[in-house]
Amino acid sequence: MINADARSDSARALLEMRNLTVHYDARPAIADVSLDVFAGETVSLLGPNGAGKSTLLKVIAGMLPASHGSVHFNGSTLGGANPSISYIPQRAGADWSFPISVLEAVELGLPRTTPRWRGFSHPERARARAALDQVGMDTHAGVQIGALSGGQQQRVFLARALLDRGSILLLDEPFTGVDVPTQELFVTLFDEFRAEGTAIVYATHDLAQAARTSDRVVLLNRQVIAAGPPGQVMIEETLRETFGGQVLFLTAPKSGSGTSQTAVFR
Amino acid sequence: MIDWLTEPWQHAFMRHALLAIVLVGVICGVIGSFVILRGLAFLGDALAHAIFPGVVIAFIFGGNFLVGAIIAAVIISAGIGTISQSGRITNDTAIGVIFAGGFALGVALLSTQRSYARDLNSFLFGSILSVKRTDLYLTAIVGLVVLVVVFWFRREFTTIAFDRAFAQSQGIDLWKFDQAFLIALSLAIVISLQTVGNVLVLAMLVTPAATARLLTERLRIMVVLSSLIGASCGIGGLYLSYYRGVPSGAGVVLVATSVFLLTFLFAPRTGTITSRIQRRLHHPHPERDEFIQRSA
Repeated sequence: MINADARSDSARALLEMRNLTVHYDARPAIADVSLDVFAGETVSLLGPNGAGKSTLLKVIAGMLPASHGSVHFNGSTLGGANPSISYIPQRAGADWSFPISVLEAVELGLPRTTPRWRGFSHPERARARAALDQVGMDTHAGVQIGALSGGQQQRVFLARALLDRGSILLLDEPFTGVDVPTQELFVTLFDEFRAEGTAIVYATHDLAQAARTSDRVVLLNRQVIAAGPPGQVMIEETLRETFGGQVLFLTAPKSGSGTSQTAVFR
Repeated sequence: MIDWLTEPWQHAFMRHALLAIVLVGVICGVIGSFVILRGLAFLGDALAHAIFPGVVIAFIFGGNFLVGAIIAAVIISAGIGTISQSGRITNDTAIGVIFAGGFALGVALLSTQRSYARDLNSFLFGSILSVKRTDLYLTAIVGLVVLVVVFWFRREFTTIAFDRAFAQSQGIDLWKFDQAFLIALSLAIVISLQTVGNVLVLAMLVTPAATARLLTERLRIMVVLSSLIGASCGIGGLYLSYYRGVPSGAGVVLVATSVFLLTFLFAPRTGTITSRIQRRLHHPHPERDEFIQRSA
C-alpha cells in the first residue's frame, strides 16, 4: 500500500481514523480504514460504486456507528453528530418536490438559538440570505426548490452547510450531475475554506476533478488502496487495484518530451 | 337559504357532531400534511386498522379507548420496525402483515361480544351522531397535544421529511422522532374513529392534505389550508348526511374527495384543465396576433 503522506508525523491531525470497520451485513462496507485528515487540506475519496465512500463519510459525520475502530476529532473520540463537522449528503437523498422555498431549505441548517415557539429572527434570516449570496443563489431565495437545476440544488446544500460550518466539511459526491460553473464555484470556495483552516473531505467518481482539486487522494475499495498527493498515488497500479477492469489508460505523447497518461472509465 | 343552513344545528347532537368534525378536520389536516409529504399514506391506513384490537380490548374491559389504541400503536410501530430491520422484508410488506393481522385480531375479539354487528359497524364507519360532550373534551385535549407536538418539533419533522440524511447529520435522532410522529399520528387516528370510523379515517389524513398540496408550494400554507379544507369538508359532509341521509363518515369523505378532484382539475396554474387552457392562451400564434392587430 502506498501511503505517501506529505506531512511530518509531528503535525497533529484534525481527524484520526483508526482501523475503522463497518458492517451492514456479513460483508464489511469498509474494512480496517486508517486515515488522518489535517486542518486546511482537501482530501478526496475515490473509488467505484459500493467502495464505501459514503459509508466512511457517514461514520465521520457520526451518523453510522463503526463496528470496529475509532474516529478521533481534535484528540477526543467522536460519538454521534458533532457541530464541528458539517455534512452535505448526496442530492438524490432529498425530496426535491417538498413544498419549501430555497431560503427555507437553507434555514434548516441554522443552529438553534431562538426558543422553539418563535420563528427565525431577522439576523438569522440575514445569515441564511448571506449564505445564499455566497453560493450565488440569493436571487433564487423565494423559488420552490423543485424548480432548481442539479447545480443549483447542490449550491443550496452548500449554503445550508455554511450556516453552521465546522472545521471539517464532508461532501458526498458534490460534483455529480452538476454544471461546470457550479463546479468552478465549489473549487473556488474550497480554496477559501482551506485558507481559513477548514478541512474538506469529499467523495467523487471524477478522477480528473480529484487530481485537480485535492491535496491528497484516498483510493478506496472497502480498504484504503492508497493515500497521498494525487501525483504519487494516482498511478496505473493503484487505480487498477481500486477500480478493477473499469479503468482504461490512455497514453499520449506530450508536446515536449515523454508521455502523459490519462485514466478514463471504460 | 339561511334556514336551510341553520336548521341542522338546532339539534344538540348535530352541534356536537359539528364540533367533533371540525376538530378532527383540523388535527388530521395538520398531521396529514406530514403523512403525505413523507409518503406514509399506507402506514396511516395500516395504523388505523392495526390499532383496532387495542380499541376493542379497551371496549370489552370498559377501559379508555385512547389508552388501548396508544398501547396498540406503540406495539405495532415497534413490530413493524423490528420486522423491516431484519433486512429481508421491506417496510411496506411488514406494514401489510401487521396491519391485516391486527385488524383480524380486533374483529375476532369483537365477535365475542353479543352486540357484535352494531359495534363493528360503528367502529368501521364511525357514529358521529352519538358524540357526547365528554367525547368532545377528550378529542379537544388529545387534539391539542397532537398540534403542540407537531408545532414544537416542526423544524425536526420538516428536516426529516425533506432530507433524512441531513437531519441525521444534524444530530436529530431519527428513531425517536419517527416514534413520536407515529404516536401523534395514532392519537389523531383514534380521535377520528368516532367521527369517520376505521375505514375512512385515511381520507381525513390524506385527502385534505393532498388538496392543499395542489394549491401551494409552501409547507406552512399547506398545513393551514389542509386544516381549513378538512374542517370545511367535514361541515359539508354533515349537511350531506343531514339532508340526504348519507352516513356521516361517508358524506364527509365524499365531499373531501369531490373537492380534491375539482382542485386537481381546476386549481389555478396546476389544475389539469386550467393549465391546458393557460397553455393554449399563451401559446405563440403570430397569425392570430396579426389578425387581432389588423382588425383593431
